[in-house]
Amino acid sequence: MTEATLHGVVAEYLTPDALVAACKQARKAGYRRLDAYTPYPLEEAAEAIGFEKTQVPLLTLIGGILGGLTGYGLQYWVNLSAYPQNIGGRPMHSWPSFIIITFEMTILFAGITAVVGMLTLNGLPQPYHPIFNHPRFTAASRDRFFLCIEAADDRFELAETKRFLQATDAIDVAEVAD
Amino acid sequence: MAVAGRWAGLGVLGAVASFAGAMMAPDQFYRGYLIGYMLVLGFTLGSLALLMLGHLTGGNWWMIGRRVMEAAVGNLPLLTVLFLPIWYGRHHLYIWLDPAYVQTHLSVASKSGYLNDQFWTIRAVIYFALWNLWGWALRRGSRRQDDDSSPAVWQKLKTWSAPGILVYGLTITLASTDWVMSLDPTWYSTIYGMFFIISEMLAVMALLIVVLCSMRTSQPYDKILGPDKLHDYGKLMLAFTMVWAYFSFSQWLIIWAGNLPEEITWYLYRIHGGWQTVALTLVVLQFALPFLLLLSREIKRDARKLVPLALLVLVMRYVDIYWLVAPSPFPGISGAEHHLTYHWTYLAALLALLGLWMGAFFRQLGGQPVLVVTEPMLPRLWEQSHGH
Repeated sequence: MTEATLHGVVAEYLTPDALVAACKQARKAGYRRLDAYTPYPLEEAAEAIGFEKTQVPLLTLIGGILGGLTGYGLQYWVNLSAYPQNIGGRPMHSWPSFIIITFEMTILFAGITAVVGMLTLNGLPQPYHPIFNHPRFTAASRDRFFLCIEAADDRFELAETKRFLQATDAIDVAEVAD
Repeated sequence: MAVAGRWAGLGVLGAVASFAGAMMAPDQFYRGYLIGYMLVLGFTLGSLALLMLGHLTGGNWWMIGRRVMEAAVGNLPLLTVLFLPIWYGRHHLYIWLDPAYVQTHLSVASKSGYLNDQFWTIRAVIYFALWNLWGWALRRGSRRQDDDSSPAVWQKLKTWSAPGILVYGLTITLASTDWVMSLDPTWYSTIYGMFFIISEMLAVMALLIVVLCSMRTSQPYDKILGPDKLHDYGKLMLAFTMVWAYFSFSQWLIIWAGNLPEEITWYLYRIHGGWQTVALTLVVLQFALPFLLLLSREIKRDARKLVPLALLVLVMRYVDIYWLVAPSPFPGISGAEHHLTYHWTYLAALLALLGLWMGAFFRQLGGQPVLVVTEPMLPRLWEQSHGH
């Protein structure tokens, strides 16, 4: 196997603490193309591998504001220009009764933007990912914690990176094909 | 505890001022007393409700705040005694106790099977009996857990909690109707009880944040109350803030849309005569500002930002009850002629009630282990400061 077809080197850990410690060491050693795989969400690991803020919250906020404006604007247009109706002598622009639709449209647009934005930014659905070439990777959804240093990393050097991961608390270090 | 002593001292000062107020201006004093009383009662009953909810559902935030809520529930005997001035001064508060008023108001006369002096008093006795019973049972079980780890004790607390939530829901609905909604006996709102439930839980969440964060640097909280746990409290406060706004708006929208004379006047009293300033303050400071700030992840995880926000919520809880109670028609004054006032006796009553409540609360908080060590899930707080 040549380096060109190598996805990276994967280390396996028994505990979340060991994984987080290894992530921190790897960051310190200068590795940047890292990924950690855990059976349950582990915020500390995300921080340790230098996971930066995503744009999803901002997109959601923008989507929500757009939804609110759409909902309010639609009602304003319907009630004041398209189909004006005198309902119980209330003002045409009866904002209290517009609030519910405005609120619902805010939630709807924010929700859709969050899901679509998340899928666009993280590239899912992804039918093939090389990490599954690791023979024991299914344990990542049960009780094992994995750290992958990818071959695309500038500092990646097969022998040295393997030695580096073996020096951590890993119970197993393996190469994974691309 | 020094804190308990200082609060109790403040409470005694307030009680002296209250006594003077009750002599000099009884009409104003009892209104102020009712406002303050509903605030501190909310701390205790909201704690009772969240405590029972936690027994049935669990949760990390609940384990950390459990003993704080139990200390608040321990104030039930005190609150029972502090209810006596309301009972004693009821003729200064409730116009439906005035036969002349009832005779001229047909809709109130038709309610007199429920709204009459004897039945009102009997109901108050029943509410306090039930609340004290559940408060006593939950605290006794909890104390037994300190040195008895058998699942039977744990199970018994669950057995009390499930019907207790129903009892709480029913009693708080009726109590809020009896003590606050009936101030304006021609008006009614079917969401009123729900509104009180959520208001009390919001108040308790803010109180928990303030109290727990004040102990954040001492053991064991320095180990277990990390940013991720604060985050949970922040999220819950955001949720309760939103539900508070949801219920407040639901009530307003339905009454606004109906625009019926016997319903809309309640709001007219509260958005005229200076009260509109208070109403607007509530919209901005009880909902808009906390809502927008609590959307931020950083604020929810940082005690230095979350605590001032929780304090604001606590202040607004008082302002909200003030806005519900003070513009009502009282014996001798109709709602329409009731302009924005804040009598000094309101403050005296608040100091007395808050001081005595906090004094007793901190004394009970200091007199017991701050965590239930036999709690099966407790080790999780230490071993998984990460994860969920």
